[in-house]
Amino acid sequence: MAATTVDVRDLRKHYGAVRAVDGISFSAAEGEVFGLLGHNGAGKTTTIRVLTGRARPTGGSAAVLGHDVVRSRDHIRPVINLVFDEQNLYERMSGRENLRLFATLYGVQLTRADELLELVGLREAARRAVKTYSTGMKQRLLVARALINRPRVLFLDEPTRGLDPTSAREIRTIIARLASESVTIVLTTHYMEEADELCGRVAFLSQGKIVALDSPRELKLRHGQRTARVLLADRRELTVRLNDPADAETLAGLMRDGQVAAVHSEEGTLEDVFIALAGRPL
Amino acid sequence: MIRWANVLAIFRKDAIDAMRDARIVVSLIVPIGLGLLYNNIFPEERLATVKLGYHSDDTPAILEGIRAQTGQTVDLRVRDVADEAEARRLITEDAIDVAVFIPADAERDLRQGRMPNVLFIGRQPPAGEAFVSRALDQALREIAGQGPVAVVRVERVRTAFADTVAVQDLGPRRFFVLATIVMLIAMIGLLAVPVILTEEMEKKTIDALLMIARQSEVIAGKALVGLFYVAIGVPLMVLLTRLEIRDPLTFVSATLLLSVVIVAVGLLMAGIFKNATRVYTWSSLFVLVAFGPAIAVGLPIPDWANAAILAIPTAPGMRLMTNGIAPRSLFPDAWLSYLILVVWAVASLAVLRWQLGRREA
Repeated sequence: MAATTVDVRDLRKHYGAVRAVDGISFSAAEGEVFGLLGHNGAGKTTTIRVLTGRARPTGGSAAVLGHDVVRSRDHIRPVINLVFDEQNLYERMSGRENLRLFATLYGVQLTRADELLELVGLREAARRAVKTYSTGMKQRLLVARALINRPRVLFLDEPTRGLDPTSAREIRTIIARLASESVTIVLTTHYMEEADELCGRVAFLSQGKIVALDSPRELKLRHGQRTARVLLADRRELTVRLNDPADAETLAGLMRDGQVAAVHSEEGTLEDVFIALAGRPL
Repeated sequence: MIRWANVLAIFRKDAIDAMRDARIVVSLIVPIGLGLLYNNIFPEERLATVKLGYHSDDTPAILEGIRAQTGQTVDLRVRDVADEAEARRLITEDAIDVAVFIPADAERDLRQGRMPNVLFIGRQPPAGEAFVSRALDQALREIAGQGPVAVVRVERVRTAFADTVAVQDLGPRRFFVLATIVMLIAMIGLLAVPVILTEEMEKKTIDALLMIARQSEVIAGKALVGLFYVAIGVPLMVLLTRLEIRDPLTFVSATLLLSVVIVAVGLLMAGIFKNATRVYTWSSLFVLVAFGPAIAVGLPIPDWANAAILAIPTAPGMRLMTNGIAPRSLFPDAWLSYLILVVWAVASLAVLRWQLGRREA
């Protein structure tokens, strides 16, 4: 069984009367992609701020790789990293200069910068000022920067927001590869398909609380509709309830008579689950 | 505990990156350009030069007397002339301003009460003639044993204005060049440094730094950038303007202390404004508040105003730096200026530390 790398217990973060995070608990294991989903203001980014040692929790506890995020910030810093939700790069500097700065700060070989530029497909643009990069290139550079110290736990805050489908796909491929290399990924995203594709488990956050936590498949099965849409040979459509014996008998009859052209599962999407739990779509 | 490797990495990044920011470059170029302008438009405060042609068939006592009388008031350059014809030719060619011919045995005649015939040739229009003729007259009288005709007692009454007018004592060129050096320090500390820091906050690049570095390391890196620019800019201005530093210890210590204070104030400004555009807007006012007292230090202002401006760190800084370049200490109460600067440095660094502590918590 994979070791727990992120352990959050009854974590709270209040800003005055605002309860940004209100008693959440979860854990993530080595090599797991764990998703934090929710509306804006649900508490996702605040949770990441606490886990990365950039905000002090009001209560509860959080540990990364066994170190308390408040008391042992200096132990955690070298082994975690974060892809920010904003493209906070030094725009007048080149991509290479950006990475070399962080290589120096993390005390890793400067050649690591070139390796990562190659990995994210920015080798050709390495010496250009970042301000000349496209949004997708900047996002790839952000990912490269977050990998400079070979983190064991990587936090990604909306890593594909605003990207075109090709760039988003490239980022998702990198995330999947990192997970296969035993890096723990904690991901926040608005894109349910992305969470469904990447995450082993997801937590739905609403008003600072976790309203559901499980694998996407389990959540869909638990909260989705158990129906199937049947397309008949004469182009008519029929919806059958999978847990209704009468509907099952009807479907069996149609199949025996050769009238069924196609059957589409009506399994819910994560978005349906989210709407069911949070009351409104993302 | 500050990790200096992180501080140096951040410093190196900022020192190079800031040079790509037009706002920072302008803030450095303006005072340097202004210093060069003042250096050229204000006259050199050199002593007046008088070129004396001298011929004597006697002892050098009279020439020594002339030199003693002109003393510090004139730069007397003496050359021998063979005869009157040569003297007239040299005056025509502007090689000398005046010529003096002393006959043989003139010194003996003077001591015995006789009147030797001394020839004095001046030029039209006159140049330096008054200095030399007055000095010659005094020198001859002294050798003749004539005492002064009266004892003149000189008294000075203190006015309601500051007793030192540095702009006169130093000369406008050196004074205003020095003031632009203070302006350069103010521009670096109150504009460049806070712009560098607020830009990090605004673009949230500071969040990426704080993933591995501490707030104190980031701030120390920015402070080093400010001090580095001062360390480059001030010697550059001194060299370009040929400013003679007569007391390097005072000049350097004052520059360093003032820079630490101004940079610390600039970092505090960044904490207040949090936005590079706002810093850029307001820093002009701050630079004016800093630059005004530096100028006022050298002007004849009432004592109360003099005491008031001393509260602004650029005023004591300017006083000490003035002492550093003046032939004599123009502001004798240097300890007071040092004390004010040290109090400012300690206070601003303490507030900065408190601000950092709050952020890190």
